[in-house]
Amino acid sequence: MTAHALPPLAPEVAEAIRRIGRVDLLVGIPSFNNERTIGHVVRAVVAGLARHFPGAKAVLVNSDGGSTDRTREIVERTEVGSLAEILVDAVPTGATTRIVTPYHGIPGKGSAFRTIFRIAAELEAEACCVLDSDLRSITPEWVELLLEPVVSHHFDFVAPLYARHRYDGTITNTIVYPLTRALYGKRVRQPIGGDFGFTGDLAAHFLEFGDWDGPVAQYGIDIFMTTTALAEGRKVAQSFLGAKIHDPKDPGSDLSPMMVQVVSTLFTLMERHEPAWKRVAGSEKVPVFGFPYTVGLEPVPVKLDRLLAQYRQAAHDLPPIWESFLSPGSLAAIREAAHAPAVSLGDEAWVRIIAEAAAGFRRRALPPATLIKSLVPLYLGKVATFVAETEAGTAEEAEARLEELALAYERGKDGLEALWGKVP
Amino acid sequence: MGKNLGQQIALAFERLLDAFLSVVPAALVLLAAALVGVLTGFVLRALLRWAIRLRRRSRRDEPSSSRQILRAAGLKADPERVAGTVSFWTAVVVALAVGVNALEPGALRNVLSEAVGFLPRLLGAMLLAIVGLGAGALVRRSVLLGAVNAGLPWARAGARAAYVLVVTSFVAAALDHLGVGRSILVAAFSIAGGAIALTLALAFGLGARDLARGWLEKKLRAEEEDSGIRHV
Repeated sequence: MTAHALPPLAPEVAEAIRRIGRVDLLVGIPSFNNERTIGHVVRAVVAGLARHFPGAKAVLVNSDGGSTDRTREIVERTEVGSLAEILVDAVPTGATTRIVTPYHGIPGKGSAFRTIFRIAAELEAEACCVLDSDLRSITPEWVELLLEPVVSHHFDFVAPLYARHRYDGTITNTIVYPLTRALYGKRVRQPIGGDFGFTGDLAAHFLEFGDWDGPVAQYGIDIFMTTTALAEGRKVAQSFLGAKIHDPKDPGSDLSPMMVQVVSTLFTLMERHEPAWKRVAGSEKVPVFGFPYTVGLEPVPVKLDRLLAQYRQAAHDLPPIWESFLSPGSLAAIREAAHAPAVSLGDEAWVRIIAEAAAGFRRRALPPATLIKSLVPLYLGKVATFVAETEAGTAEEAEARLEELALAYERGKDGLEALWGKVP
Repeated sequence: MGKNLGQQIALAFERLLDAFLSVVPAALVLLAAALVGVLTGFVLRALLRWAIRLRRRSRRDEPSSSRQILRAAGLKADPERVAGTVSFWTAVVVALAVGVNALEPGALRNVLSEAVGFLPRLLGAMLLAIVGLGAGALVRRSVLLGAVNAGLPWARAGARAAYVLVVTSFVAAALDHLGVGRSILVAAFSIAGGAIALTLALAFGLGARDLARGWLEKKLRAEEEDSGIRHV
């Protein structure tokens, strides 16, 4: 990684850092117009720190993207209330220090995290965690589950493990999880979950990344953090956090741009970490902290006909674009699936499509954003296939189906390496 | 009388020969200029190719940005080949222009000057047309992808219309650059542009008010509501 200019800090933040000195723990919360939920997140964090780390010197950092509502004010002023009531048997200690700051750089979650990393590095934090500001299901235990493996068990990076509905997080299920698992050999089930724990050293290391003007500054940040930890052989764990319920809609989370940011980061990091993933065969489990339990999940009503219509239209209209990076075999599989009475894009075909897209991305067969946008309807076709296969089954059967897909990715890795190697 | 006629004919042939002979130096000058142009073109092309290969070798792992630009414009040509061709023909045209300037003043020089002077404009117009084709391909692809991903049924037709519009604009600019039918072009474009705007305004804003309202409302709703899926 190349050294890069650090994000600037506001004078009052620099002054606060000088006053605080160094800290044991840092909790970062990126935000943008989250007045409805951020108060709950702040209360959970303050209670969690008081309950589980009473003797630690901790700071809460809110990195805000220019909210026009009361988000920043709420972070500064939210009172936790009677900690004795919330914590029952714990003895509350002093108030958690809070730093509220705007971030610099292109608007996005990654830029917000970058400022949090900078403050963590300046404060020489031992352990850090980041939490989404639109969470409704966060409890004080999340803070413990993300920080304790770092503080007490010497893990470098802690990814979240949620109980999610089978149709919640489909980019994760069909692309990001199985591909990351096949590439780096670790079964991190929610690599772009959004809530992570990590060491202060790793935060400083993230800052050394050279391209903070690209997709990593936006939704690419989550896969950047997970991939960096995995590819560099850091000690990685997962923590079971229960259900993840958040505000219904993030205005910046439209499918196409989000998929471009996540998948282009994934493919770019494949180029960066090529020697690391080429050494890996198969995959292994990652330690899980916390107590997994069954959660009543919000249903996700899927409109299958819309997914199918979009896939079929793309199969008719987009082959001239796909021909730039997909093989005749993949194009035939796409066509065949579109003409079937019920769309059925098989695992082998899907894995081959993703491998050819990654190789096409590497040789710049198309501009990166164009290539990934052209994958969107194919992804919807794969999701439609998954929905059709699992809607009548149980959650466990759906998860078993995803395990089959992940194994197909692992089997397809040789093919990916061969395609990758062909790039001039 | 017969003798006089013979003399006149001989004199005419003599003048014709003189005229041809007076052109020989000019032709030789032009030939030499063309030769120099071709040679310079070859050298330039070789130098450019060498530089491009050297750069490619030093950045072996990074995809070439010029190739990316050409691919983005839908052109599969090798950038090395494109650069070589452009540099070669530029050298030939410049050499010919210099050669014509070296000719003795006269009607021939004027004619050739005009012909050679037209070449840069012709090259410029060709360049505009090529850029137009590239820009058209880019726009067609963007419209097609955007429309397909938005689930719009007219994706293909819309993309084709956008392509035709962009290419037509560039071809018109190229014709204008050549000085062909300037006033007609301006009038045609004004009429066509106005007609399209009026048609769309009437069709979408007046004739299909309900459809327009419905479409805009749908676009303003969250995309996730469309399929129900939560992607990340």
